[in-house]
Amino acid sequence: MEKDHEIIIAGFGGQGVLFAGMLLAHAALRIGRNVAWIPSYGPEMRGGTAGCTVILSHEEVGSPIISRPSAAIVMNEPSLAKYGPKVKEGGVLVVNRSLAKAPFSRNDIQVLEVPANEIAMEVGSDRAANMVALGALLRATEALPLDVVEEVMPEALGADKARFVTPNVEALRRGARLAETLLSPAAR
Amino acid sequence: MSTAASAATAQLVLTRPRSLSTAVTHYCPGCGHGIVHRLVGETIDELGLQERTVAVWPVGCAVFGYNYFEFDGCEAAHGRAPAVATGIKRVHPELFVFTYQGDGDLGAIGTAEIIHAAARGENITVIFVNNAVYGMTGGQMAPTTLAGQRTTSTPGGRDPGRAGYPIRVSEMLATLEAPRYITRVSVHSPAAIRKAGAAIRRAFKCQVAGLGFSLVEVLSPCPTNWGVSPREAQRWLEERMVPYFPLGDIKMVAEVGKL
Repeated sequence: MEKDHEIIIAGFGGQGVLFAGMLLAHAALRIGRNVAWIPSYGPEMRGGTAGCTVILSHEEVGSPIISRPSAAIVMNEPSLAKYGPKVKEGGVLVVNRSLAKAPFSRNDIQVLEVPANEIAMEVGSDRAANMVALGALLRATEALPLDVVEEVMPEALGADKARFVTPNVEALRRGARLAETLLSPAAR
Repeated sequence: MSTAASAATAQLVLTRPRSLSTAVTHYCPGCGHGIVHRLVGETIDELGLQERTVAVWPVGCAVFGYNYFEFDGCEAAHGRAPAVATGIKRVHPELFVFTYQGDGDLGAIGTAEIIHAAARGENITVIFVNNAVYGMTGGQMAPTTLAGQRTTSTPGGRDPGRAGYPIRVSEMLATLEAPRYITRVSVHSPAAIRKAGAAIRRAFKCQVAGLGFSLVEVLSPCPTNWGVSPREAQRWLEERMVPYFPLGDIKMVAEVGKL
């Protein structure tokens, strides 16, 4: 049985940070998990900061507010600075090294350095960087089965964005494959 | 002309107003806020008001306006800027106090505050930036949204049968006795921008002369929420907004006319 998780996904407006969290929420609902998704963003219509919290639980979720995530994805440097230190011991941090270049290390969590934008470009667009990072997170945490997340991609995207299903799924898989190679032997 | 010769005769004719900070704004490409901010900064400089200005900022895209100016600012709760400005000006009448508000802030949630500050004739200036939508929250219908205009809460176009017609706030305020200067301008073209600058200058002078309440409504493009390019937004403003919100002085007492 998968563990409960309190996940933070953060970046700037336009990176698809909120969507990545919403995708997890859809997948969690599909397999009957209790889930809370709450967004957080600034006033800017373009750019600015964006983040969401996703809580995956086997019990009812009492509050969507968490102070220390069990896992996090940080898509840009300010997010790395803000949330990197907050991940709980034993947790997982996926860092988008395409944009977050500042030195960061902790030896009490699993830090996965993912050049998400570059990998996404190989799939066809750096807009899929969020999916690369998410794939890496899913492989490292096993929070939800990857195939369930792929299965709910059309419903999470909506009919008008159906053309993104295939590239998004491909980006998810690439992120998962990269995580596979990065995970330390102990975690495998 | 050779480089050396042109350097010798070069003259600095344009620079950042001292009252504008060097911070990069967060506004969208094609937004009118940048233009209006610049006009305000230029006018504060020209009238020598920087040291004694306090601006009151709204909730909306301009919420962080205080970051873009080198003078004091105060944030207000949504719509309450005229009330906050009233407090500041009454306690410190020697200060130059203006509010900077959007059409949601001023015309929806702040309707009571603007009417009563204007009715009391507070010696403040209101810069009212009208883009016919709620901008920051994602382009919903505002009191100023035109009939037939598509917004995120009127996807089929504003239906007057359900949602009424847009409010001309400036014309309404002009029926009050106390206001001294109420005018409407636009920033959709260089000529319009020049007139907007002149109106802001007159309104600021109205306060400095202690004459009373002044308000400048500025029609402003919002490409992001109108779903058009910046160029199309300027055109839409001129062709659709201006006919309903006519440009020009709506109320101007004689003493203000002489400024």
